[in-house]
Order: sequence, then C-alpha cells, then structure tokens
Amino acid sequence: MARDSLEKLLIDGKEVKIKATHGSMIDKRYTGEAKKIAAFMINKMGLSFGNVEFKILDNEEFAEKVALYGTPLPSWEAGQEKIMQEDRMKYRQGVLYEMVGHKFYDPVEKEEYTAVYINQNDTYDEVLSVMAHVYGHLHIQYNNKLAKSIDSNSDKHAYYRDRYREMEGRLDIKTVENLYDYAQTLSGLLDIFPDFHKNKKNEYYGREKEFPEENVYDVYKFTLENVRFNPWEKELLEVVYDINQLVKGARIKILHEGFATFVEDKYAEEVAKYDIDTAFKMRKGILSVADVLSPAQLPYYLGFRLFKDIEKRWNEGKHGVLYNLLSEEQKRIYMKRENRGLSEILEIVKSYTDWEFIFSYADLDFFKSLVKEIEEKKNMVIDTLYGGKYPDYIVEMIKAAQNEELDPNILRFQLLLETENYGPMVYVPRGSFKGDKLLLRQDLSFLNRYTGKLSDKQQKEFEKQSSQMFSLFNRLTINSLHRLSKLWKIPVELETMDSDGKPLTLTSDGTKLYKSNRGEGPNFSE
Amino acid sequence: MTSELGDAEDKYRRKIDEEDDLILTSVDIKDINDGKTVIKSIPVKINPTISYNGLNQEGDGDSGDGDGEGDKNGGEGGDSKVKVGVDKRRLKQMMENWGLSFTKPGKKDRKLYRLLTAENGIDENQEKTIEAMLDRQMATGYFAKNGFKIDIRDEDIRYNFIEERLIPNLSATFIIMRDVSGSMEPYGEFSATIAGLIEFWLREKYENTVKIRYIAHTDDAFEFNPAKRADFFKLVSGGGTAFRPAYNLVMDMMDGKPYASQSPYRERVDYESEDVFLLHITDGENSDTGPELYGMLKKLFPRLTKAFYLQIEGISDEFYKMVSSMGKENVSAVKSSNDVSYGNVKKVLDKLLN
Repeated sequence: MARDSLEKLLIDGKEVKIKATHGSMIDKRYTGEAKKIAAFMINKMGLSFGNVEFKILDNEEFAEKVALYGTPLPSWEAGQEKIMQEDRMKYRQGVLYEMVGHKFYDPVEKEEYTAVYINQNDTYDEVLSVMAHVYGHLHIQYNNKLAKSIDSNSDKHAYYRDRYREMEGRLDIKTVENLYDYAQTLSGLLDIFPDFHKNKKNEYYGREKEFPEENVYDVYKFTLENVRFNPWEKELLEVVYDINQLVKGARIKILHEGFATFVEDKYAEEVAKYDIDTAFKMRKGILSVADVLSPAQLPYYLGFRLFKDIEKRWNEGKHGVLYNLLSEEQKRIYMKRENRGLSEILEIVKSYTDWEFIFSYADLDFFKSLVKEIEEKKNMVIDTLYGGKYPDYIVEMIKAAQNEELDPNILRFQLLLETENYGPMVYVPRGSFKGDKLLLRQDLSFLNRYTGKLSDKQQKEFEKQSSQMFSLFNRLTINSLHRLSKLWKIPVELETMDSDGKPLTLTSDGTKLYKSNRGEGPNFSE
Repeated sequence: MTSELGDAEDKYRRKIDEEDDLILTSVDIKDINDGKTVIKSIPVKINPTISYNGLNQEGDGDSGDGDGEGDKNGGEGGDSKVKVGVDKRRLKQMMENWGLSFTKPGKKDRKLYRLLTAENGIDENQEKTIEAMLDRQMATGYFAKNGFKIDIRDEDIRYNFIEERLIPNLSATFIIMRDVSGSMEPYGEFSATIAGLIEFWLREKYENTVKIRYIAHTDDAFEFNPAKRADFFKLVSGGGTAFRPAYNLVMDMMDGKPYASQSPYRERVDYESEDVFLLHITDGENSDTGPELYGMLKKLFPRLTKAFYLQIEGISDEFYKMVSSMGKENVSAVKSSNDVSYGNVKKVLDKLLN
C-alpha cells in the first residue's frame, strides 16, 4: 500500500491527484484503494480524467446533495426531492450509490477537483465497485463531446440560490414559488436537440416580414424574449433557463451508465485474479443493477449489454459490410482475432449520443440475443432475486420486432423514450405569431432521420404506430397549456394528434380547454 | 451540519397542507397528542409539462381549474409516494383538512368565524388564537379527553402585528403621441429631446418597467411599430390635422377595442393596475374642436396618471386654452419655441413635470 501511494498517476504526463475524505479528514484506506483502481483504469483501460475527491457522506447529507443537483434552487420541489431521497436511503430502496458532482477549486492544493459523493452506509466492496464505476462516468465527462459542452458551475448555482432567497425575502414566498412552478412547466419546452435544427437554408430576399422569422424550437427562450415581465420575474425565469441547460445530459444517459458499468465489470474481472471473494461480491452488485429490466434501470441494462456486445464483436472481427453478407451459419463460425473492442468503445464514448449509439449499434441480432437471454433467465432460480421486475411489454415489443410485426426503429425509439423522458419537440411555426394567440405545433420530423426511405404502405404503418406513442393529448399537457396561457396572457393553441393519428388542436384560454379537429396536426416532413 | 437547502422542506410541507393531500385518522391525532411523530405517505407532486402519454390518461375537456396536480407515472412502483412526518406543530394546518379553515370563511365554519370576529374586532389573529387555545387545551389534557372543541378564553386571544410592505413591482406605460403633419417637420429634434428626457425620467422612477407606445396622427391616427422607434420623430405625412382620432385611439387602446396599428403587439393599456403617462406633441393646428372632443378628454384624463401637452411654435392656441381651462391637476400644458438650447429645454421640462 505504501509503495502504491508513492507512485504518481500520470495522464499525458500530467499528475492526477486522487483522495477520499470524510468531512475534513482524509480517509487513508479509501484513498489507497481509489488510487489503485485509478491506476488500473488509466494504465490498462486507457481512460483519462482530472483530479478527484471522493466525499463520503451520511444519508441526510447525501440526500441534500442529490436534491441540490436535481433542483438547485431551494424551492418546494427541492424539499420534496430531499425527503424522497432520505426515505429511499433509510429503507435501502432504489439506493443511490454515488453521485458525480461539480468541479471545485481546492485552495490548499491549488488544484481543481471533481467532487464525487459516496454514501457511507455502503459496504466495503460496494465502495470499491462504486469507485470503479465513477471513473467510467468521469471519463465521459472529460471526453464526450456533448458532456464537455454542458456548463455546470457550482459557484453560479450558489449565487442563484442566494438571489432566490433574496427574492423570497423581498416579495413573498408564495409569489416566487408560483412563478417557479410556471418556469418548471416552461422547462419542458427547451430545445435539447439544437443540432437537429441547424442546417436550414436562409432566404435573403423575396420574403415578406413575418414573425417569428424562422421556426422557433426553444419556446422557453421565445417566451423570455417576447412576454413583458417585471425585472424579478425575468431574472428568475432566466435563472431557471440557465439551470435547465443541464438537462442536455439526458441525451447521454445510456452511454454514461452503460460505459460506467462496463468499466466496473472490467475491474471486477481484474480483482478476480487475486481476490475471488471480493470479485464475486462486486459482480453480484453489478448484476443487481444491470440485470434488472425495469424502466429505471434500462440505461444500465441496455448500455451494459450493448458495450459487452460491441467488445465481443470487435474483438472477433464480427462487423462490417462483408460480415453482414454472410449467412446465419457462416456468421456463427466466423472468427478473426482483431482485439479492437476497447478502442472501438472509447471512440464511441468520445463523440456519440444515445440516439446515435442505439441506432447504429443495436441491430436485430442484438435484440435477438436479448430475447434469448430473458427467456432463459425467466426459468432460472436466480430470477427470484429480481422476480416480477420484468415488464412484459418491453419483452413483447422486442419479440414483435423479431417477428417483423413492429418496425425495429420504433422499438429503438420506444427504448430510448423509456430510459429518459426526452420531452416532446414543440415549435412556434414561422410567421404564426400575430399577437392575439400563441400557436405551438408538435414536431415529429426527426423520425425521418433514422428510418430512411420507406414505401407508402410502410410509411402509413409507421405513422400509425408512432401516433400511439407520440400523442400529446393528456392531463399534464392540458395543465401545462393553462399555465402557458396565463403566462402569455393570450390563448395558447397546440397542434397535435389523438391516439388514432388524426389531427387535434387543443386551445386553452388559461382556465378552459377547447378541442377541435381543424389544424394540420404534427409536422412529419423535414 | 449546515443545510444548504434552507427551508425547502418546510415549503414542501406547507404545500401539502394547502392542497389537502394529507389525511389524518383519529388514531393519528391521538398519537400526535401523545407527543409522537406520525409518518404518513402522500402522493408525489409534479409540475406539469407538455409530455407524451403523461399519466397514461386522456385529458377531459373541462378540467376547470388550471394547476391540477397528479401522481407521478406509476412505472416506478413505490416511488410515487413520499413519506412525511406529522407533529404537533402542524396540527393547526391539519385542522384545515377537517374543514375548519379559518383563513377562508366557508359554509362549514361561518359560525366560528362570526363568533371570533363579532366581539373582538378585526385586529385579532384567528390562526394564532386557535393555536394558543390548542396549546392550552393540550397542556391541561382537555384535548385528549374531549377531542377538538372550540373554547376560546381571554388569555388565548392574539392580535395582529401590522407590518408595512413596499410594493416593488409597479409598472408604467408611456404613450408618446405626435402630430406628423407637414408643418411639424422642423420640430423633430426638439420633440425627440423632450420625449427622450421624459422617458429617461420615467425609467428612473419605475426601475425600467416602462412600456412605451408610439402614436402618430394627422387627421387619422395609428400606433407606430416600437421596433422602428428611431424613425418615429422623422415621420412626415400629408393631410389635415385633427386631435379627436388620436385621443379616440388612446381610448380604444384602454378599452380593448380594435384600433389601427403597425405594431406586432396588441396589448391593452391597463390603466387600472398600472400608471399611464401621455405626451402629446403638436403645433396646435386642429380642425376639429367640437364638444365631442371636450367630452372625450373629460373621460380620458381621470384615467391618466399624468398628461403632458407640448405645443411648439403655435399656429393656433385654441386647444391649449381648452386644456388649461379644464383645471385638472394631472394635466400640464406648455407652449414653447423650437429651441434645443439647455435653457429652453430645462424651462419646458420644469413646467411639464411639476
């Protein structure tokens, strides 16, 4: 152990400092372990990250950090989140083992550290496992293109909290909370796919003045710019808008969790070489997270399987155009030692998002192996551990895709939507705003990106199936429309469709809802 | 341990109480009275967002009140409930759930409400009084024996402490009305100076919550697009000049009637809840001075916080005299030459603003 601590960890010639702290004290045992794991990750797996401080917290502190990360302002929502987290930890239900927090500057070491929170009630093996897992997350945070673009500055958030409390003191808690609730409703209308809308042609002439001049996908920003607010209202809305930029992180959830679990699994393999007992416990922990097919665990499940699958295929050379031309029998015996699994995975992690990841790597063979695995597991005794947690509809969907009853792309969408509510895309159409009402239209044009060209019959079937998933007619939407209308002080109209795929227009004047079948429904064409 | 979250938990508990989500049984109340904290689970609250298949439920057409809340999606099993502790401190709020609301007099508690106010006047704080009564009842063991019963004595009565509060969100509308007939062409710079300085004065006064509306008129009036504000004082148009259409337009803007406009915004001038200022710049030429105009001004001026009438190099003083003779305190009328010197501008502003 002493020898380990003398060795420096180097990434690209730069030293990486790692420590585990308990309050203000350094925990020597965990620091040593953390360094050992980091050495494995850096030297054998090729990961890279910055300085890390593992902070070991009790239940209440941990719950508070989680609440603050989810809803950084001290609103009632943060209070609810804290109580919920404390509840879960108390009864060890749906436990959070770790949380990767913000970067902060250590004035003593004069270095920037990333804070990682660990629950002190975890067992020793769990903590080792968690540390390995966290290095996976950190690698993505430091290397993924999208993750790098997300600005999460803890000082900024602390300043926002101060301002929020000041507003409450000056005005009234109820007034401020009320506007906060409205801001939360608006947060569902952020543009989290800005790269989808970039390549639009600009017409320089020959167009009459209209407002807005282009389709506006960021309805939150549009509201900020065009509704007249009092200064404090505007500030609060801007603060929530800024905080919500973190939501972009949802787009790499499967990558994040899948890769971290994959790395954790690799470390368990390493440990097994000298300490089979700990390795077994770690492996059990991994399975209890990544082997449960429930909506909450789907990112772990899918990501872990997929990375394992990719590693195997790229190690054995089972990929590429020529391989896909082979017959089933030939594919089975095909073998070409390439050992490119790990490098392929690191490449994926660098620049992909979930959508690209699932659509380019989860092929029918992968789904086939999933179905096979689930079928086998269902009859095994070990399943009683996680019994009853297999949602049948996911299995049925995968099977339907196998029998070509369901478009595999629809399956992929559905899986992605299960993992995280991406929020529907809604936009203000070009030239639609005249001051008397706000028109919103649902956008489904992004579906075309992944399906390629379809025949008319297929297209019809596709639209019918998607209409059942993507209809916006429900209670939450209606309440949101009421809130939007109160904010804008004019009626708000939403063009969507009902579950049969027919166009449906919902209009709210702030208190009442009107339905009609005029309007064009959602936008399918790009 | 320092709590970064502050009182977020308390706020959440208050929200539960307000929305009647927490229901206590008689056993719970007995436990609370014994000094125990009772743990109850309640549904998780979420702010609605536009979503696919939210709550897996089709909306019904007449969900009357706007901000209905609902359970979280049932997908995550036990996650859709949250457990909160209830203690004696919050019993008062619990009582509201039993229909004993003191803040809003309803049918059930009218008798109680009258009983409390008739004798003791409005300065009494009912909530605190009830709290004090409960404290006394619990201390003496009366509550445990008889349950909740209203029995207020002199020692329980608490009084309101009146606190003065500043209202910071007052806002204003400033309407700039300008005669754009040909004869006004040389006065553009002077008009812009005066209007700009008044605007500056208002922005200081109202912390930048000033909305500015531009009206141009000859014998026909329309609202000018504020996006092109730079061009407003250069506007020139032919035709005769009359004031009545212009003042008519202001009335329509206030009443929410349709009016001629080049602006993309159609917002009503809300004279009831915010301050409205009107500046009229003209050379005094007015072809329409009937009794109708006088009647309209009599209706309009009380709605305004202040009206400024600026006449430059007068052709005719008829309207100036009429406005001055009305004797309204909130109307100030000034005649001036077309002189942008410091002395003249100061003189005009002093007269207008005081």
